[in-house]
Amino acid sequence: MISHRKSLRSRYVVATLLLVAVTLVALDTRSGGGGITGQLRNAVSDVVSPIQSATRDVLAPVGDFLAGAVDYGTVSKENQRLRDQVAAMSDAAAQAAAAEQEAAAVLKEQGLKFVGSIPTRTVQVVERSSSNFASNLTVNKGTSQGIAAGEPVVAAGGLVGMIESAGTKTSTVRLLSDPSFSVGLSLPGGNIGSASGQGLGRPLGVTVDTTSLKAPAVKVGDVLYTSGLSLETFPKGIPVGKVSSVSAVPGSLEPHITLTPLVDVAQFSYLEVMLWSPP
Amino acid sequence: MTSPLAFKARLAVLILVVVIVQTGFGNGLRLGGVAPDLVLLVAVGAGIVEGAQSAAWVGFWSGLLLDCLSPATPLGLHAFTFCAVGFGVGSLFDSVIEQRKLTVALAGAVATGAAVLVYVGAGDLLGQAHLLSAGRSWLLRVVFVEAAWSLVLSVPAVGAYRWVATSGGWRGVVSGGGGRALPPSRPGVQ
Repeated sequence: MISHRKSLRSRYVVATLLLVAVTLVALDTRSGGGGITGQLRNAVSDVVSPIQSATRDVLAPVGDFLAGAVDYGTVSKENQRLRDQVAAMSDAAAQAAAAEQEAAAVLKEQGLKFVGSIPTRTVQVVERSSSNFASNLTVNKGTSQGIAAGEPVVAAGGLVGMIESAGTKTSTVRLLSDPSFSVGLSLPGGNIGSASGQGLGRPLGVTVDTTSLKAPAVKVGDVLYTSGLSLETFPKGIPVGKVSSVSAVPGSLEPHITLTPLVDVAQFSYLEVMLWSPP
Repeated sequence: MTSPLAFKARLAVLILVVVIVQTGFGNGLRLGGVAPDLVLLVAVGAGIVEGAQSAAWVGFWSGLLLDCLSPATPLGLHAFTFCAVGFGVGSLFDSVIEQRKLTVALAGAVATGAAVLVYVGAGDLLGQAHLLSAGRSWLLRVVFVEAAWSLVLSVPAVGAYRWVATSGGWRGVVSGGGGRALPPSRPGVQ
């Protein structure tokens, strides 16, 4: 009898907890990540981020060792590729990465011309917390330094993502590779489309939204840029990715296109936030 | 440190540490592109060591803390998943499954696979369709690789939870009732 009561009570407890969880999901979804749930998240993030950063610094060698042991072949190739890349870089660029100001200068010199007259703010990556179903990272500046949700994040080469949420001292960046990320693209021949993330380490999928009379003549290696059309969340002309594959789809005028992001976020400790919001 | 309050404090510290290790370290530890889910193993540990009701509480709070640090998905989704899966594991060990290293490891693996499916399925029902946008092959890969991680990590995770649950001398449950009393020793499980 007692056991039955305990079991019944357990079921009530779990049902209540599940109901609370579903209510929280509904509230958070409805507020679009803002409101009370957004404030709670930002507060927790502000408190925990420094501890996360310290944890990562302490445990990074262990993680690197394990990752290397599990995937030695890929690590060796990556190591060689990076050696070649480093050899090709100028000494000035390598040295400039030591300090934030110098890093900002390097980023600007190395291909942030697309930023144009839009002001930017240099931020440092303090956490790379992508899960198996979401790609994001945390940077060391927030609303107190003028960062706001929705602002584009770029690095040398092109688009990295956008500010998902901004706490007082830290902000979360949703990366291009996140499955919920989408950006409007200009395609050749007056076409437009959109690129969507498909997970960390995977190419972006491109959807051709409208076509002119001719299908977009895209070829492998082409760089695609943001369209900047009205209602878009990014300004025009930011490089998004390089076309990695184009294939015809049976029964469709539009080709199937995939993009490789131009920016390998793992290589950057500093990023630029464009202080821009849609007009 | 023998009171229920002290036990809850130790448990809160354990949850905080595991969530920080998951987000600061575990998410970067990738096998085939898939990271382990260390936080879920705390709820699984609670289910195996203490029972269904405690696992539901532990799963809820650990999931909620993880949700706070996972802005890409809505607050409450991990809490829902870990609460449900922890309760399920606890119920099975309360009534059906005997505790041995093998059953603990297998339960951890199966619970992890189930958690991935619950997380994505519940998320899809609650408007998070993007969780499925990476495709079924990616979902299956996450299910199997995460389960493989848990197959290896379940036994030490349950051992760690047992250590936290018993190190103060007090043997009790998180919620103050509904869990099982811990036996003085458990042959076969660390």
